[in-house]
Amino acid sequence: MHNRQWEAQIPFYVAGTLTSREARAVEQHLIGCETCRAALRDWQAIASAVRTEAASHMRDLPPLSPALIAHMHGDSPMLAAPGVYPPRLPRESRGRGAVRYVAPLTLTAAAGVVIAFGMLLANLNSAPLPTAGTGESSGVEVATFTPTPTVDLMATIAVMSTQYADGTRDSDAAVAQAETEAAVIIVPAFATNTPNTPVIVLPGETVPGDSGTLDTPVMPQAIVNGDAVNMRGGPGTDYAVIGTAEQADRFPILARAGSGADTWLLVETTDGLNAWVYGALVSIDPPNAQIAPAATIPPRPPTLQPTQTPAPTITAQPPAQATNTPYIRDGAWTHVTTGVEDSCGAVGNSISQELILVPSADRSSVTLTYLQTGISFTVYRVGGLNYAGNYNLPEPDLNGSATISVQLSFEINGMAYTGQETVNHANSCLTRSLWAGRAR
Amino acid sequence: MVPARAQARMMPYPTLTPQPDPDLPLIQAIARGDGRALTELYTRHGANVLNYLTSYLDDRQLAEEVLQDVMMAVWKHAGSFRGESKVRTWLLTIARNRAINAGRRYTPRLVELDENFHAGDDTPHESAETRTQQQLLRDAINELPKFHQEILILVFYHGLSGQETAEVLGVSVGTVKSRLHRAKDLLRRVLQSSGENWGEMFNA
Repeated sequence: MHNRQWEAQIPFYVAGTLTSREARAVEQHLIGCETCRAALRDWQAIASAVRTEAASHMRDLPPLSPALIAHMHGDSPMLAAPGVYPPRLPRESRGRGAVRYVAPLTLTAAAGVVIAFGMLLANLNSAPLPTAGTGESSGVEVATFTPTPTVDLMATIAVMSTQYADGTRDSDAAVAQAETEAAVIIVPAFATNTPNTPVIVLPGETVPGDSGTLDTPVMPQAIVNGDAVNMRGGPGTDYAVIGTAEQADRFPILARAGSGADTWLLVETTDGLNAWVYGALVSIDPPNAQIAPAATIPPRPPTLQPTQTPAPTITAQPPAQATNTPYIRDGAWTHVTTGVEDSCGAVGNSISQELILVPSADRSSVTLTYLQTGISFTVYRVGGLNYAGNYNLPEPDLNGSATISVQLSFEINGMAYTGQETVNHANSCLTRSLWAGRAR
Repeated sequence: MVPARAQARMMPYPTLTPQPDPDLPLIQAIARGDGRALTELYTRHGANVLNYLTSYLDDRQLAEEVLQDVMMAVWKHAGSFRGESKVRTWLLTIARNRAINAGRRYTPRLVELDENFHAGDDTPHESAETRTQQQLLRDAINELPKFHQEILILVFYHGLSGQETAEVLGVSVGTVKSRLHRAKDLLRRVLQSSGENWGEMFNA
C-alpha cells in the first residue's frame, strides 16, 4: 500500500498546494496507509512550527527606497502625483508587533468610473466588548477566553476607485476582471430590512434585491449623458449621492425602478458598486432592452431632504453615506498569516491557508471555512459590522474551543485585504495573528 | 459619440472564470512604466519577500537593501516577464538570486528565540507539552542545514507548490521532494535524541 510517491505528496498536501484532485487522491490513500498517516502528523507539526518560526521574523515593510522612487519618476512621466497613490500602506503599530493596515485610497479624476468612497470606519470603539479585554486600549481588543461567543469583529473598510489616472486599466481586460472580483464594496443595501446590516455575498451570488446576476455576458448598458451625473444609493434624489459618473461612462444595468420620467436604473460600476442613476440622464444600450424592476428598493433615508442633499463627488468623506448600509462582497480569500502573537508572551501557532466566507441569507451570520483544514465556524452579527462567535479547532495541537475576533481592512483596487485576527484559545495560547489576502 | 476606449471597456463584461495570476496585470502595468503598480506589488508581496530574504541572509539590514534591489530589478525587467510562472514565484526567484549576489554565505540562523517563552508557562490552561514540543521542533528546524530550512519555508510559509519551489531553487521537482524527505528524516533523528515523548510523532 505504501509507496514513496504518495509520501512525497504529503508535505504539499499539508501546505495546501496540491490541486483539489491531487488532494483527494492523497486523502483516499491516507485511509489505507498508516505510514503515510504518520508522515501526515509529522508534516503537520513541522508545517506549524515552520510557519510560526517564519512569522516570528515578520517585520514592518520599509518604504520603497528614495532611489527607486526617483528612478520611477525619471522613467515614468505617467507616474501619479505624490499623494495620489501613497507609496506604502499607512500602518499603525498595535503593539506587540501586530499591525493594523488601513488600505490607501486611490482616487482619480480621470474619465471613467468616478465613484469613490471614503473609508468607512465601522464603529471601532463604540461596540462594547462583552468581555474585558487584555489588549490595547483601542482597535482590536484581545478577548479573554470564555466559552461563550464573545467576539468583536470589526471591519475597517476602504473602498477605492480602481482607475489609474492614465487610464491604463481601460485597455486591460485582465485588470478589469481582477477588479470586479474585488473583495469588498460598500453601498446601500437593497434588501436588508434593518439599517446598517452588512451584506456579504459571494461573487456570482445574487444579492437579495439584485434582480440581475453579475456575470451575464450580455447585459444592457447605461451610457451616461452629461457630466458629473449623480449616482445614488436609491432611486430618488432623497438618497445620498455615493459618487458621480461622467459623460459616456457605461455601466451594466441590473434593474430599474419607477417608469416614464421617473425611471431610475440600478447599475453596477466597474468597482463592483451598485448605484442608482436617474433614467433621463443616461441612454440605454440596446435601446429596447428589457430591464426587470428591482425586487427591493432601499428604504428611504428619513433624515435626508432633497434640497439639502450635499453632492460629494470624488471625495473621501464618508459622512454623506453615514446612513448607508455597509455592504460586503466577498469570495474565497487567500489567507496568509503574516504575523502571530500570543498573549502569554510567546509566539503562538499560525496558520496560512485559504478561507471562504459564506453569509447567511439574512446576513445575520457569516460562516468562515478554512479550505485546507476544513475548520469551519460561524460568527454572528452583534451590531453594525461586528460579528462574534467561537469555534473548535480540530488541529491536533489546537484542540478545544476558541474565541475569535477579526478586524478587517480591504481595498478594492488590488483586491487585497488585510486583517487582524485574534484567537484566544485555552490550550495553545494562540491569541493573535495578522493576515492578508485577496479575493480569488 | 461613445469613445472607442469606452467601447472597449464595456465589451466583455468580465465573467468570474478561472483565476488568472492576480499579479500579472501589475507586472504588465509596471512594464508600461506605471510606478503605482510597482508600489502596489510591493505592498502585496514586499513583506513576504523581505521575510524570505531575512531568513536567507541572516541580516535584517542587508535583507532590506536586497529587497530594494529586487524591486529595482522588477521595475527594470518587468517587460521580460513571460508569465511562465506566477509573479510571486518570480519575485522569490529574483530575491534568491539577488541574495546570492549579495555575497553572503548561508549561516544557520538561530531564531531570536523569545526569551519570554518560558515566562508564559504559567498560563494555567495551556498545554505546556504541546508548546514545548513545538519549541523543540522549531529549535530542531533551526539546526537543519540552511538549504533544508529554506525549502521548508518556501513550501509551508510561502505556500509554493512543488513546481514553484523547484523553480525558485533552480532544481528539479524530484530534488525538492527528496530534500523534503531528507529534512524530515533529519528532524526525526534530532527529535528522537531529545528524550521527549513525541507520542506517535516522528517515530516512523
